[in-house]
Amino acid sequence: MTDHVPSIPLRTALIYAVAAGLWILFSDKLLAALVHDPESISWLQTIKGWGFVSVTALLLYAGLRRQIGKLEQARVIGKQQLAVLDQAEKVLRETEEQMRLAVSAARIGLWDWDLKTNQVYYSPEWKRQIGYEDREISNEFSEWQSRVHPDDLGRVLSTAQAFIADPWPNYQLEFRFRHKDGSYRWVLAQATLMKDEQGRPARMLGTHIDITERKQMEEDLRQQARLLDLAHVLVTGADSRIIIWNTWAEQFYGWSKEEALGKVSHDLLKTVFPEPLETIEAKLRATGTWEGELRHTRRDGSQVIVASHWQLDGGPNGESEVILEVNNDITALRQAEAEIRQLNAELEQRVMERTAQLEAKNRELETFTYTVSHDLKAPLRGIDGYSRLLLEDYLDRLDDEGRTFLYNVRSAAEQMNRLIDDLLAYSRLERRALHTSEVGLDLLIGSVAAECADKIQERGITLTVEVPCANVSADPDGLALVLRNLLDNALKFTRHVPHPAITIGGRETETSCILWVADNGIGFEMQYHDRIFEIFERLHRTEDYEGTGIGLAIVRKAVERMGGRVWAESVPGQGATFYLEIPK
Amino acid sequence: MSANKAAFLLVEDNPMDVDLTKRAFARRRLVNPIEVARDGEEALTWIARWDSGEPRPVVILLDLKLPKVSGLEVLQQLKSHPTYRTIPVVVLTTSADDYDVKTAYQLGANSYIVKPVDFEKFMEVATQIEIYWSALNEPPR
Repeated sequence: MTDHVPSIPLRTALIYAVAAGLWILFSDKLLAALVHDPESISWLQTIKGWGFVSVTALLLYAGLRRQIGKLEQARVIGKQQLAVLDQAEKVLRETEEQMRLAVSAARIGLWDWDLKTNQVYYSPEWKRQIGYEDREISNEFSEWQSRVHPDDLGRVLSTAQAFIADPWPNYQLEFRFRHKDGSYRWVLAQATLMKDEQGRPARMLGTHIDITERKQMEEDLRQQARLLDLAHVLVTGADSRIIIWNTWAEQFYGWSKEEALGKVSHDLLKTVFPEPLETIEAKLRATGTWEGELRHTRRDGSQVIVASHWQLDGGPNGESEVILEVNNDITALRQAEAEIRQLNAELEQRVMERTAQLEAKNRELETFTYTVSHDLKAPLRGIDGYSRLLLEDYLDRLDDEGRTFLYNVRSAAEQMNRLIDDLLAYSRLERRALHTSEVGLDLLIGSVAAECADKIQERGITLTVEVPCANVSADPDGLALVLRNLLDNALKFTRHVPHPAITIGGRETETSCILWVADNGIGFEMQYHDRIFEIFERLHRTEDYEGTGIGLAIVRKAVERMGGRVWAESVPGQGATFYLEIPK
Repeated sequence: MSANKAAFLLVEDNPMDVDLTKRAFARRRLVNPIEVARDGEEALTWIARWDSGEPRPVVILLDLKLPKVSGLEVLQQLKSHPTYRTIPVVVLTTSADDYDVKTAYQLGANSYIVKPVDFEKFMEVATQIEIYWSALNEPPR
């Protein structure tokens, strides 16, 4: 068309020029030949001229109309085409926009590498992925190359080069790419190769997608898989067939994966259940879990005891139900328990034996004491008896000195008798069993005081009893013995006091009851406080105050047996107070 | 109540104790004679003697600490004998031991007296024993 456009007007003009020229030539000649009248030639020439102009005008009109018609058509067509183009452009723009949005939403970075100029177009998203603004990265190839992780660069470049040389579909590369902040992101690069007309590689273009999170998830999953492999678990289906048999299971039970997978777990492991399997399954269905101890047999025949926790995991409609078993090896624990029970039993046995031994020893001691006292008393009876007979029958045959000797012999025998009695009483304290009961103190004190009523009255002693605690939990006989001894002492040591007074008092605390027997007798020095509670320890001469010195030892022993304690306070010449504290 | 003149049988091994006991009773003018058995075995031989007709004692004073056969043994033998278990037995011993007292009574002792060391007191006891068993108590028929 381009060629034809200048030629049509030219050709038309040439034809017209030639035609008109020929007409003019011939028409004039024709006229001259036909008509000789000069007037007629002139108005014939005018008519001819008008005729020529008319024809020309007609020709012009026709020709122009045709051309303009064509032009008009062309214009209309052109307008239509323009409209179509506009529409197409609009669609294109919309598509572009959608793609841009999609790319933007999918965070796909685009790159376009001109292999000839080594310039690369990087999309704003590509730059944003590694933390840069659009203007911060130029279109140099080095911008990409310098940011690939040094460990990955070799692989990436050689793959890219191989691709450029001989492309394949679905080019994909994963490598680490440096972010602006210095950290490395994982990037998935996909590309396609475009060749020029000569078939030489011209452009390589593609996408960058940040897959750091995906990589992390992959790593997490890998780690989870590793951990699962080590965990003390195994997984069976609802039918008890083994689905997961990990490294731990292989080591613990001895069966390899191939041997174990698909087998019914309790058959393989020869499981001994604590309750029927139906019960276990029922509980599992009801609550989703079950716990109990199982006994398994390993491949090599040895047995283990595990504390097993079962967890039911299933799809909403019951499909792909699996049971997760967590097994803790408690074989050693149970073993230790069994040993401890054994040891305990042995210990109890030994304790029983030892107790029997002690009881035997005790009985020995009792027999010994009994025998000793009995045997000691026999000769004592002899001494007392015969000295008495001497006194009765032969006194007149003795002089003063002889009588003194005799009295001394009798006195010594009496003393020995008292000693033996006190010793017996003291040892009997230990042998006698404690009978703890609720003791009404008023009653007890009353009865003990009543025993000494005669002496009290005889000596004109003022006895005051003020004991607020109502009851104590104690051995009544023991307590009576203690009070009796203390009262006896009080009576004894107030003998030489003009107005003897004895007070029996008490006080209650949260945990115990404190009683005291106070007198205004001769008292003692506090430096002897500890000694007076010892066996046969006396502070006075026998002729001043009789006694073997066993009384307070008995008191202390008896009180200590009841779980209490005794102590005393005294000022010489002003009296003494003896305290005893008994736990309630 | 007439005094029973039959003997007292004293079962006692200690010679001094025997002597003193006899003297104690004598001092208080005991009427009844005192027979003595020096140990448990000898005491039990009296059973044969009673079988052969010898008179039974008014009361048997039995010490517990005896050689050969112990006092409790003798007591048991006497008190399980169909005929002679009716003879009153007074355990006269130094021991005030719970076990001895309990067992003696369980075996059927009629009385349990602890021998005082003091001779004066012993003479009192002797008197009381005599008055009770010889004069007051109605003997078994």
